Amino acid sequence: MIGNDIVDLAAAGKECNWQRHGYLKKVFTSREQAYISNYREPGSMVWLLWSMKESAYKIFVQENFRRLLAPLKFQCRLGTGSDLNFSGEVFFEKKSYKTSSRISAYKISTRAYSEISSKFLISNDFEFSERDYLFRNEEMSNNFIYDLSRRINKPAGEFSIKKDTLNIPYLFYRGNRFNSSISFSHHGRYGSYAAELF
Amino acid sequence: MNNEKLISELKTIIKPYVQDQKDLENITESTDFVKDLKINSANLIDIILDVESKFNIVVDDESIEKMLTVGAAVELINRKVYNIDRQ
Repeated sequence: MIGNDIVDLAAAGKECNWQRHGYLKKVFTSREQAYISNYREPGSMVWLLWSMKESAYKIFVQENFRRLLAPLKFQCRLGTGSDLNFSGEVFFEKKSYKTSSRISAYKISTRAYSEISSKFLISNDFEFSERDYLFRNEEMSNNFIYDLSRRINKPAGEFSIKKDTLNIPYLFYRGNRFNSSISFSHHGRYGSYAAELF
Repeated sequence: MNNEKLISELKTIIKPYVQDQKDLENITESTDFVKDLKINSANLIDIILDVESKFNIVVDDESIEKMLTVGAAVELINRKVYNIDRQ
């Protein structure tokens, strides 16, 4: 399965003061806090780790059909990284999820995978043209379906997306469930989709 | 403090993190922070810290896990501050 998360760094800076007293302790393990304080831009590391946790959590919800707020239980380890790309792993109880993240000056984007496979993967980050939140869900679905239809050469009009009560998106083709795992994320100006077709 | 009063106290705490203030008008115990109020998960931690300092309590990790609805927050505050357990 696949999970993703995108962070608009400008929006994150405005919305959330991670430096407030007690904040980091509620979210990050001591290993993660060391990653943050040792990184040249601690703020970017905060959101990189956050997006790793969130991406892994998106898989957790698809696997377990329940939600929870447990950032400390999704524990990150960073693997190799450059200034632009980080690979890592998130551990949750007995499970682990591989992650890959991209960092730019404006955004951080992560995908998590429950297993490494050669399944067909499709993912993209984009800037919303819609400003209204209500229309953004539609823009997200449309961007994804359009991309998918071109990649697998099937008409876009035959696809649709429905979300369940846990907000998990499901792909339908001609009214039938299309065997896949999909994850959508939006924050600030940016949207991101990731899908794995079985 | 009755639950209605508690919910209005919570409303004050939640307000800065809600994008569309209209969403706050009809909050009840079943209101979901993420699904109904569109609060992002990073700000859920802020809400927990605000609840901790407002009511002078410590929210343990187990309670944090369930803090997805207004009702869960009300239940938590009742339990920690007023020792009221609702079965």
